[in-house]
Parts: sequence; structure tokens; C-alpha cells
Amino acid sequence: MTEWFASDAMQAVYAGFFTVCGDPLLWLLVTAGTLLGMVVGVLPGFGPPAAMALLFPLTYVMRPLPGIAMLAGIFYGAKYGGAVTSILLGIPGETDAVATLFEGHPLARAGKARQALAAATLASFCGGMTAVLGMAALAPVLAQAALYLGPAGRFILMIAALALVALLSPGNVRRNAAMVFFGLILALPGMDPVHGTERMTLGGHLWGGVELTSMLLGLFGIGDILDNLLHPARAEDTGHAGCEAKHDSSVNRGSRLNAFFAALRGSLLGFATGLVPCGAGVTASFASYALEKKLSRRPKSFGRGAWAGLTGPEASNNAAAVASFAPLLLLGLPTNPIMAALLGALTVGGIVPGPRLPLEQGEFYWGLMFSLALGNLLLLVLGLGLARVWAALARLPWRLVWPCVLLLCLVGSYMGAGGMEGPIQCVIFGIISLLLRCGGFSPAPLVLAFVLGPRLESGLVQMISGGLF
Amino acid sequence: MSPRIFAAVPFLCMACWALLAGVRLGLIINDGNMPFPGPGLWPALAGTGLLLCAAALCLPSLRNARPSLFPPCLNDHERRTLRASLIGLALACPAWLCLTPLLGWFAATAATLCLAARTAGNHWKTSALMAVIFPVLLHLAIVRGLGWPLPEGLLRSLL
Repeated sequence: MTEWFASDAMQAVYAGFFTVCGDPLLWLLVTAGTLLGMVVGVLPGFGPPAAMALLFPLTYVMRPLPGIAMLAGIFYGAKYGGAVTSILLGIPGETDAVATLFEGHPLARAGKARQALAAATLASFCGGMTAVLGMAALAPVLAQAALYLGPAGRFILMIAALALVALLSPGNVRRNAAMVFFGLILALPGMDPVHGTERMTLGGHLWGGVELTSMLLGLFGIGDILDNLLHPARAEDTGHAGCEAKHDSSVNRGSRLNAFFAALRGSLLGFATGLVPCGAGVTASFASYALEKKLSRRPKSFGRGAWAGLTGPEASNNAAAVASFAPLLLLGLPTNPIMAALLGALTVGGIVPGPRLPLEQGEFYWGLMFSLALGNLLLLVLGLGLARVWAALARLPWRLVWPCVLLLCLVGSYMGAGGMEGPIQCVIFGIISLLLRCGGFSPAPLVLAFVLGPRLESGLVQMISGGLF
Repeated sequence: MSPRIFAAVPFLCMACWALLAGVRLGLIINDGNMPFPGPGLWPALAGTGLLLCAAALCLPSLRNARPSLFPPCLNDHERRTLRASLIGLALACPAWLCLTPLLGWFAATAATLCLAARTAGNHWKTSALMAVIFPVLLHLAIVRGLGWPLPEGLLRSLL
């Protein structure tokens, strides 16, 4: 490992650092991504997958590093947005933010909304930075370990990831497994990745296959619109109690220390959980909440605004989100739908994720690490500086938001596909999303399986033809 | 038909489609020396997996916390707004798809947004304002800013 740090790889670290420092466009895009992610995440009814899906087509016109850095900014910006709505409105943007709601919303109702937001922002920063440092330290170890994996190892790893997705995703295992196979079948139309033969194209209509952007925009963009229209309480119930922070009162030193150590514990827990496929954010935040409750001297204060119960899960959640980049970049294994979208963006940009990425495209890898750190710093500044703006934005009426989002989905899917087949597929996936949600199916395993499908197929053929069976 | 079986039917159809395609494409290529996986092997495997899952979905032991399509306990006004919004959404998508090739994305987006915003329950002035501002912002960001061409429509080419 010492050799690794001393060798050319270290030059790549410097190159990555100077790429980030000397590229004003990258700074601008990371800022824009973080800001856009925060805006979309704060808007009622939208989670990070929808935010990513809406802005995913923009990466088609960018270089890989700024494009991925911008998408990463959108990702953790939108995650932070989920915490804002959890604290101020009691509406978790997605399941990851539920644990934040347990303590954040009672604090807001008690007139400590501003402090709760600040604590959540600092905890998110702590979690994000811990995960970036952890990834930087673990990169040589993970990369070397992954080099020992042959085609069989990679195939089994991908199968294990999909099995974990089916087992651990929210909902019934049978439904999740059905979604995994549904995703694998959706990845089939078009050109066979091994033999190059045309298959299942419905008379040539699906020659280019199913478009990832259209699928993401349909399942998560239009899907979220329909979900929020059909469950109006989640989008419109903007319980304002205590959100104006009229009775701000100070936080004592003991609570601050408790919150700080909870954030540290949460960061480490979140980082470890983020490396495991599936449900990382929600598992990490709930595990951290349970840990803090267990360690607390006053467990009865939990549920009534305990600071440790807010900062622990929030740090954990963000650390898991950033740590989930490690399996994607070093193993080529997306662990959630957002990472699946990022894998698509990497492929578009000509970047091949895998154990050799830090060595062969070190400038990109380390540039991304530094841009993640930069993005977390920006998240801290924007989160603390614009708390009032987020609070106002979170109360935008849903009736103003969804028509614009619908049109963004349609235009975005046109951009992604480069033709009208994109919006058509987007609308079809919107309808599929509605049907799936009504049947209690989660679309997340579908997207993961869709992205991994061609790699699994190639892996299987390589394995069989290599005589491993 | 029970809801369980009803949910499994689309998966069964997809599974059969993949299985049939797999068998048609060929599961194994045998060139005389060593059998090699054919282009149909993976579709057949995926189809078999989905077939088994669809069969498992039909099993009665599945605890089915079926979410209802429409939310319970809405008052008349909320129900009317919801219905109008859903109709607006259902109309807006095909409207944009039909209008874009004819009028171009800008006019189609403005018209569709106006329709969607109005049916969402916004005042007509707000809807009109949204229909003007939003396409202009998109034009500035996508067409001017990113240099990404969006469809201009038949009408524009005729004019």
C-alpha cells in the first residue's frame, strides 16, 4: 500500500487536486448542482432520484468530471433538501430522511427550527467529509482487492448486489424480485451486447433499446407527480407549527457536545453501511438513530427533540450517500438507482468504473474526490446561508410545481433520447410507475437491474466461454 | 380475478415474451467444437426468473397491503381538484407529444403548461404567466446556454 501512495498514483492525486482547483467551470457546476439539488430536494414531493432524473440530460453536453461532479452535487443537495422538509414541515422527502424527522420536527415545533437546520447541515457536512476521507484512504485497498476478482467474481458480486436489493429494499421480497427480473427484461431490447444481434425490438421500434433517461424521468419524475397528486397530504400538508423559529432559544453546551459526538458516530456508521449495496441511506440513518437512543442517558427524550437523535442519523445518511460512490467507482457496482443513473452518465462520458479507475483514470477519480469535498463545503455554506430561502421554497404550492416538472420531464427525455421516442417512453414509464406504485412495487430494484443487465449478460457469457462452469 | 393474479398477469406476459425471444434466438451456439452461449440464453434466463416471480406473486400467502389508487377521506373540493389535475396530466402528455412535431417545442410547452397549470387549480393569469416564463427560461438554459437543439416543428419549417 505504501508503494501505491508513493508511486505514480500519488501524481494522480495531485493532478486531480489541480484539475479541481484550476477549473472554474467545475466550481460553477458543482455550485449549480448543489444549489439545484437543494432546490429540487426542498420542493414538496420530490426525492433525490427525481432531482437527479430531471437534471441527468444536462450531462450529455459536459465533460465527464464536471458532469459527474454536478450530478453528485445534485445528489447530496437533494438529500439535504429532504432533511429541510423533514425538519420544517414534517414531510420526509424520502425514507432516508424519516429518522431526521423523529427529532428534527419536534425541535422545529419547539421553536428551534433554525438551530435544528444548522445542526442538520453541520452533521451532513461531517458525514460527507468523513466518507470522502474514508474513500480516499480505502481506494488503494479496495482497488487491489477488486483486482483479484475475475469475470466469475464480478458476475457473482453483481448477482449478490441484486439479491441484496431484492431482500433489503422496502416492501415484499417477492415483489422486489419480480422488479429485478422486470428490469433485466427491460434491458434486453436492442443490440445483444455479446453477439451484436438484434433482439426484441418490436419491429425496429426499440432498436436503440429502452432509454435510461426516459425511464428515470418516467418512473421518478412523472411517478412522483402522480404519487403526490394521489396522496395530497404528503405534498400539501405543510404543517407550519414552529417553523418560523419565533421562540429561538439557545442550545446548551452538553447538548452541543452530545450532538457533535453523535454526528461523528453516525458518520462512521454511515460510511460502513454505504459500502454495502442497497438501502444504505435508510439503513444507516435508522441504525444511527437506534444507536444514539441506546447510548443516551435520557432515552425518553427521544421523539421530543433530542439533538443527538437529529445529528447522528443526518450525518449517517449523508456519509452513506457519499460512501455509495465507492462500490460504483471501484467495482462498477451501483448500489441504488441514483448510482445507476451515475453509471449511465459515466458510460456516456467514456469512463470505465472498476478497480483500475484510480490508477488508469486517476485524474478523474481524485478530481471527483476533491469535487465531492468541495460540494460538501458548498452544502455547508449554502445550507447555513440560505436556510430562510429553503423554508420559503418548501411551502411552494404543489399546484405550481408539478406542471413545470412535467414539462421538464418531457423536454429532458427528448434531450436524453435525441428524438420524440424519449418523451413517448417517458410517458409510458410514468404510467408503468403509477401501476407499480398502486400494486405496492418499488421501482428502485427495476432501475438497478436495468443498468446491471447488459454487464450481467456479458459476465455470464465470459464465465461460460472461459470454462468456469 | 383476484388482485394478486391481476398483478401477476403483466409480468407473466413479459416473461413469456422474453422466453419466446430467447428460444427463437437460440440458447446455445454449437460450432462443432465447443458449445457457446447463444444470444437467447440471457433473455431465456431472465424470462424464467420473471415467470417464477410471477408465479410466486400469485401465491395466496402474500400479505397484500394493497395501497388504494385514490386516497381516502377527501372532501368534495379536494376530490374535484384531484380529478381535474389527473385529467390535466392525462391530457398534457399526449398534447405535448402531438403539438411538438407540429408547432415546435416552445409553443407546445407554453400551451401544455398553460393547460396543466390551469387544471392543477391555478388562476388563469398565473397559468398564462407560467406558460410564458417557463419556456423562456428553458430556451435560455437549454437552447442558448447549452446549445442543445430542441424540435422546432413543421410549422416553423413551412414558414
